[in-house]
Amino acid sequence: MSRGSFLYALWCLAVAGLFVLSGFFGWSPFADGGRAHRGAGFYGPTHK
Amino acid sequence: MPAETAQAAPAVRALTCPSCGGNVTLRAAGYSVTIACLYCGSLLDVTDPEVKLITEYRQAAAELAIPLGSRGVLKGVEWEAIGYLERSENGNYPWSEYLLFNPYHGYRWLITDGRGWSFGTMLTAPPFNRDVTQFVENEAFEPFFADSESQVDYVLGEFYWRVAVGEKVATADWVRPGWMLSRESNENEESWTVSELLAPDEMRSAFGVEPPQSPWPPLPHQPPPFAGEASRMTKIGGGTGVFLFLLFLLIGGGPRLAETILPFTVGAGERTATVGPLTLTRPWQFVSIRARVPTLDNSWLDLDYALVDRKSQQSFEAYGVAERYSGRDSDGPWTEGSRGSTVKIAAVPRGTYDLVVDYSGTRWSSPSSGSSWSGYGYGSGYEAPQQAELVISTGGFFGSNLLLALALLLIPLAILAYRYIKFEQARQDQSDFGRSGAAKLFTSDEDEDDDE
Repeated sequence: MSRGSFLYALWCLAVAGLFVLSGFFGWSPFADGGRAHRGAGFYGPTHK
Repeated sequence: MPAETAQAAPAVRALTCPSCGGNVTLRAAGYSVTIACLYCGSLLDVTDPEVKLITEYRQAAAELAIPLGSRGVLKGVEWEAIGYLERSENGNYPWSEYLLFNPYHGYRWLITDGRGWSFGTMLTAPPFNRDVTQFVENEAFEPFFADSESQVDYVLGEFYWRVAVGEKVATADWVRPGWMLSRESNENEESWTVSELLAPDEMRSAFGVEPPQSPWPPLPHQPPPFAGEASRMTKIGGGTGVFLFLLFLLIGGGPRLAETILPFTVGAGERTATVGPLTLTRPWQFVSIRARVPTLDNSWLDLDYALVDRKSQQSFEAYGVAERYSGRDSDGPWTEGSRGSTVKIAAVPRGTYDLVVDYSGTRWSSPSSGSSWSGYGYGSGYEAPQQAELVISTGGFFGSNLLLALALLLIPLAILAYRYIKFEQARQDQSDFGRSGAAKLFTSDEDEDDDE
């Protein structure tokens, strides 16, 4: 296996590991919990 | 690939240059017809026993990368460099050719334009063609350089034909990755040579020559340096992606914890509901809360969630809103927003929880509806009671995490694909036939015009 393929395999391993870890902790950078209250925001249609 | 011809071993013959008196060794006596003196560069006719002087060159002998007479093993055969030519297309695009000789295997060529070395063998039979593609031993060669004229600019050493400076032939070339097929013809004959691009290590070990590692632009027949690697990396990335997807499908989801109905009336103020107990069994998980109001129109429903651990009173808070608007204007009817809202609370530890929901519905009044306040405001009049359907579930893997992971897996492959396209564009831009295949990607009309 060439150096590039080996490094990419390591990269895949790291991504898969982080994915499994995120699943174990039920964590995501896109989760909604903890966001600020939107009450001060704008309501109503935005395209008109 | 190249065909070889068995030949009887020729004799080595010593000559004296009639121009300078230098001793010249003819290594392929009986085959070579001309030889250039190593000392003064004079071109001699060796078919005559008296050795005639054809042309005297007073220019200094070239500083050759491979001194004539040196030997090296290529493709398992020991070759001796016996002749050197400098050629060009009427002074442009110069390249050099070394004539190699082995008494049992005949002649070969070492060809370089400074970007790499190719090992050329003359074909004993012409290739067959289908349209513009030439085939040698069932390997297809695509056209690269159209018909042009090349000339000999400099000559040193011995050759098997009467070579002379200024000699011109018509040439054309075809390529496949790692190989080039060249045709040279004049009014008397046509010859075909197939040349294999040599790896830097091969030239280094054979003749001690250090070729450039990454020539740019690439040689016409240079394969992308990462072609094999790209295939392996695609398999590795694809396998990892499938593994993550299966993991997501098989153990990513979790049970539905509760379903409930939240009754509300738009404009009637805030209400509070508690849903529970919700038992979370994994060490950690996310909690998904999906709300949907099927009858929502021109109003919004604010949803404040607090997931409270009964034991520790630790609270996880989140906010959602379902909002749906519709109307009619000069463009016709329009709708905006969604009657549903999904929020996910991440990294919730094991325990028994209550979900406390503060919610309130609000009517939106359009500026054209006569409201005294532009933008939005409370409507007036009777509001029918509505219901929000609430579904609470849990799980481990976020779908967004899967998408992020797949994107991260693709980034190196995308970089590789970009480099491949740039390589092919640089390689094919030297061709007389323009870009094709992947090299046409990201090609603007201006690039096309430049090529023409």
